[in-house]
Amino acid sequence: MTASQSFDSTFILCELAGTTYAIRSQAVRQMEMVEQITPVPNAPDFVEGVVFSRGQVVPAISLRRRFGFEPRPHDLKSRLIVISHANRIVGLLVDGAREFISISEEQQQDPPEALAAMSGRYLQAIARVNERLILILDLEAVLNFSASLDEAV
Amino acid sequence: MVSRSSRGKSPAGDEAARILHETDEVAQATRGLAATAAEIVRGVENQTRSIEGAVDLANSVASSLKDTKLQATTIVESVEVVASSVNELAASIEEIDATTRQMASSVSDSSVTIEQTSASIRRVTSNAESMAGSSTQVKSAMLQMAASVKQIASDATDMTSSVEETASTIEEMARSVRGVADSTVDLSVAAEQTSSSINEMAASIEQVGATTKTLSATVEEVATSIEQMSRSVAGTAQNVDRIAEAANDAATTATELDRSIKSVAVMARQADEATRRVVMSAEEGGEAVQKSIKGIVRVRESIGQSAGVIKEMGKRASEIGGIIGTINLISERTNLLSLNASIEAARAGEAGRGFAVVAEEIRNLADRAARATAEIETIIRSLQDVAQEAVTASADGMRIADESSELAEGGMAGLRRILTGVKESSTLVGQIAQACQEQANAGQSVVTSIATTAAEAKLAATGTAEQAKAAQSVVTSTINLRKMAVQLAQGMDEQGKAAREIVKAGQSTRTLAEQVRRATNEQATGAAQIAQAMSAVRKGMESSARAILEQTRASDEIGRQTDHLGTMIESVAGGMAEQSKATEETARSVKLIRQQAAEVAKGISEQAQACRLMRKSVEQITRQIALIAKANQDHETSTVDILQRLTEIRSVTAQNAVGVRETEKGLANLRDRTQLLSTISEEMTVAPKSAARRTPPTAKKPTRKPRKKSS
Repeated sequence: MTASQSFDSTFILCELAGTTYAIRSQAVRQMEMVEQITPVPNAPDFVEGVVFSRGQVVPAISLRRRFGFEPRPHDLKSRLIVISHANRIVGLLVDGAREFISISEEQQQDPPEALAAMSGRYLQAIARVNERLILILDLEAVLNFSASLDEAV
Repeated sequence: MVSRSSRGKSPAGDEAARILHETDEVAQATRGLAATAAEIVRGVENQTRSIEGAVDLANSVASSLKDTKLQATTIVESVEVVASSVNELAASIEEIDATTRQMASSVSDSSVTIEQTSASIRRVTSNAESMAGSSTQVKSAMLQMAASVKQIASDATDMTSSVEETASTIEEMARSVRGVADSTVDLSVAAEQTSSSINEMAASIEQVGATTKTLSATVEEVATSIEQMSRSVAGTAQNVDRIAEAANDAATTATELDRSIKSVAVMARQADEATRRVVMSAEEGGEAVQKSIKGIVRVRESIGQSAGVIKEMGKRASEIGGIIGTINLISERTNLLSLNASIEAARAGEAGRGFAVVAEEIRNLADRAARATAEIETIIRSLQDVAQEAVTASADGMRIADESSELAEGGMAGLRRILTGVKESSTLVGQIAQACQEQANAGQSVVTSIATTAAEAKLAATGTAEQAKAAQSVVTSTINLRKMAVQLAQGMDEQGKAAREIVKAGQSTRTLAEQVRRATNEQATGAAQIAQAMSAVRKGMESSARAILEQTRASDEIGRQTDHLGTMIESVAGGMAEQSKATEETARSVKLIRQQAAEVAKGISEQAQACRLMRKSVEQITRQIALIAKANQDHETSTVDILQRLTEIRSVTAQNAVGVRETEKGLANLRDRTQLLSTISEEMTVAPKSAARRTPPTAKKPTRKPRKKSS
């Protein structure tokens, strides 16, 4: 894999409710283990609280809640993926994230139109790598809760 | 002849011719007398001897048969017979004696007269001629007489032998009388015994009489009982039939019973064996339970140990889990770090390219470690689960072991109880088997005995039927028996009376037997004495026989002399022819002589008769002796009288003998005188001289000459 390619198309794979999602590695500042989450009052339900990450208070968003899955307690594999997008740093809580892979453009395809109305709005593309189906998240859509988020933060 | 001679003597003193004639007659008579006297002498001698024997006999009889009245009377009678004959003899002899004396005197007187009558002798000589013929006749008569004497002799011999026989018979009789005496003693004893036996018998007959009455009553009862018995026998016969049927049924049943007993015995034996096996199994089970209890205890202990070990292992596994968590954390952090490194490297672009590779390498190692740790965690988790399960299981096992132990204990106790029970039942089964065996044996014998019983019952049925018949006949017989018993009782009464009479008769028999015994003893003694007397009689008979033999011889001599006389007479005959007158006279005299000879024969026959009388008397005596043997009265006096009389007879006979001897002497004188007379007559008649001499011997010959020769 080429550097550009690899740079452009490197992704962090994370697991959520049995499904593998991919997040562009360019957007990821760092990754941390889920330790102390301090809940914040009047925050949306998908925001679990805030955490300290590298000296900064980062809101921790439960992708499960955001995606409408049943929440579950955190464990050793649970990860907090700190993303920096649109000058905002947000922590995404996932069930697990252990892989860093490159996905080429050819491997990516648009999500089906039938899904676009509902869950498709969070998906940028769907990739197929080594017979694995990986859903590439649209961070813009995922993080489009700025108002409420701003109000919360 | 006595009267004739006495008549001839009394007119002696009358006429000379008549005297001569008478003298002649006297001579003849004298010759006859002499002959008779000689006979008498011999008879008297014999008689004397016989009387001597009879006296001895009488003495012995008197001494021996003193007790016998009949003996005495018969002896008296026979002796009276003898005495009368002897008396007769004595009287005749006395008469002879007297006549002889008178004759002697007359002869002496007549001798003178004879001389005067010598003339008449011529007539005598003439008579002699006729006498010669007469002598021939005399001779034949003498021969006849001799034959008769021989006959007498043989008769006497026969008599002697018959006396011998009589004597031997008497001896035998005496012996048998002795035997009878012995037997009589035995008889007396036997009579004694018989008497006592008869007494006992009478007593027993009395008892039997009484018993017979009882018997009669008993027979009544028996008759009743037998009738009952007959009835019961009939019932028994029916019952026996039923019994026979029942016995047959019983035999069948017993056979079945025997079979079932045998099968029971077999089963009992099998049960016994099974029980033994059960006992063995129970004992083995008991041991196994004991072992299992011990094993359970050990299992419990080991389970406890295992539980401890497993808990320990669980603890270790938990520790390992902790370590694995740490390793997991480390691997996660490593993964995280490598991811962050990759992100940084990606940011750094080209510069971070190498770093990205290292980060990826680290991330791969961390992933491998995470995977291995996950595997270990899985293993530990399952291990912990297993340990937990093991702990739970061991707890359960312990509980089960405890329960098993308890159950085993209970089972052990139960086994012990089972063992005891089984042992008891084994004993009982053994006893049952034994009892069954005994029962089988008993059943067999029951079968056998029932079979026997059945057979016997059949026999009994047959027998009882016969019994019933027999009982019927017994009943009939019993009725007869009852009648007979009544008759028997009556008969026994009569028998009792008869027995009493028999007792009396037996007592008198005993007395009589005693008397008979005494009499027989005496008889035996008397018989012995009679035997002795008979031997004496035999001796007398022998001497009589001897005398008769002598007589016979004398008769022979007479015969010879008669022959001689015949020849002489024949020679005289010529001479005598001339003297016819005298010879005629002589013939007359010879006639007289013949008459005398006939008288001599008569006397001899008288003597023979006397002998026969004697023999008869002896026979009578013998018979009377036999009669005497039966008698038993005292006749001593009579015997003594007889003895005295016999003695008198003896003395009289002795006197007779003396008288007869005197007569003989007188006769001898007479003969001499007659010879003288004859001589004178011879002288008177010159011619017949030799004839006159021979005449006297012819007259005397029959008696005189034999007598001289014999003596």
